[in-house]
Amino acid sequence: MHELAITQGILNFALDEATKRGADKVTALTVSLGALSGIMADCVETYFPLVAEGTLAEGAKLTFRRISARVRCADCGTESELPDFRLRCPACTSRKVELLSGREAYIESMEIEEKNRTNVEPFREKVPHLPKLF
Amino acid sequence: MEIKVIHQIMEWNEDHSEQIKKNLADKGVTMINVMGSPGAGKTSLITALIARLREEYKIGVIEGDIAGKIDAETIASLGIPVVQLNTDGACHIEAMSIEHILPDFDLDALDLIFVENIGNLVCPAEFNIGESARLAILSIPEGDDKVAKYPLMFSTTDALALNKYDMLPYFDFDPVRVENDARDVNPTAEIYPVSTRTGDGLDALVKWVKGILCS
Repeated sequence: MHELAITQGILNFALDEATKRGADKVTALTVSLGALSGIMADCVETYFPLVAEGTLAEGAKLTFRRISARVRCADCGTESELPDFRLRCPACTSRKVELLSGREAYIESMEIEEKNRTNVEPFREKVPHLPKLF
Repeated sequence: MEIKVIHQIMEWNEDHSEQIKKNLADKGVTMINVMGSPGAGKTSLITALIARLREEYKIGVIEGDIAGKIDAETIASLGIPVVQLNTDGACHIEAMSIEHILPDFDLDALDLIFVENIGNLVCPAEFNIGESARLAILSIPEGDDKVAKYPLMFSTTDALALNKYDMLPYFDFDPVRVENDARDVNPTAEIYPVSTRTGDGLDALVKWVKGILCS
C-alpha cells in the first residue's frame, strides 16, 4: 500500500517537470525499478490513473523497466543475477557479495506535449478594431 | 517529445529525511526508528529500554498509529515527552510527518527519540525518516518464516530484536533459521534475543542503543 504515496511522488515530479517546461500534457512516463526496490510496478500502475485524474498527466502511459539484482562474489569472482532477495552468490553460496544493481527506483524519461505557441494569434490580430497606438 | 529526466522516485522523502538528520545532529539528538508487526511488542520494548536508559539520557517518543492514542498515553504515564502521530489510514510514517512533529519537542532537552512506526512488516521499510538507526522487532509467536517472507524490512535494519524469547519452548520457532535468513539479506545487523516480560537479553540491546548514541 506504500505504493500509493510513491505513485503520488512520481505524479508530483512529472507535473512539476511538465509545468517547468511549459508543457500542457504528460503523455508517457518510463520508470525503472530494481528487483530489490520493494516497489511493485503493478500497484503503481493501478494507482496512477486514480491520482492523475484531472491533472496534466491524466491518461499518461506508464512503462516499467525492471532492473535485475546482480552481485559480484568476493570469494569465487562470479558475477551473477540473484534469483531472490538473498544476498548470496548463486554460484558458490558465499555471503561475501557486492550488490551491483537491484535497489534502483527512478523515473527515467517522460513524454510531454508542449504548448504550440505559433498557434496563438497575436492579440492585435484578434482584436482588429484596437486603435493603433504604437 | 521525449525528455530524459533520471529522477529518484523516493527523492521527495529523502530530502526531508536528510534535513531532519541534519537538524537532529545539530541538536545532538539521536533518533531510532522502531519497526515490526502489530503485537510484536514495540511499545513494550520501547518502555523497557526507557526504564534502562532514562537515568542517563533524556528521551522522547513519537508514537505512530493509524488511529487512536493508546500507546502515547502509555508512554506519557511514564513521564516521558511523547507525541502521537496518527496517519489516518496510511500504512507507514513519512519523513515530512516527522518534520512537522519535531517542533513539538524541546530538542535542546533531549538526547534520544524513539519513533514507534506503524505496525507493519512491509511499507515502513521503504521510508527513511531521518533516523540514525533502525531497530526491527520480530516476536516468537509470529513464526520463524517472517524474515524470509518480508525480506526488505530485515535487510534495511541495523538491529533485530527477537522479542518474547521466553515463549520459545511453546512455539515451533527455529531461531537458527531466523538468524540464517537474516544473515542472507543483511550480513551486518546485530541480532538480540530479548524478553520484555522477564527482562532477559535487554542489557545487550541497551548496549547497542548506547553504541548508537555515542557514534
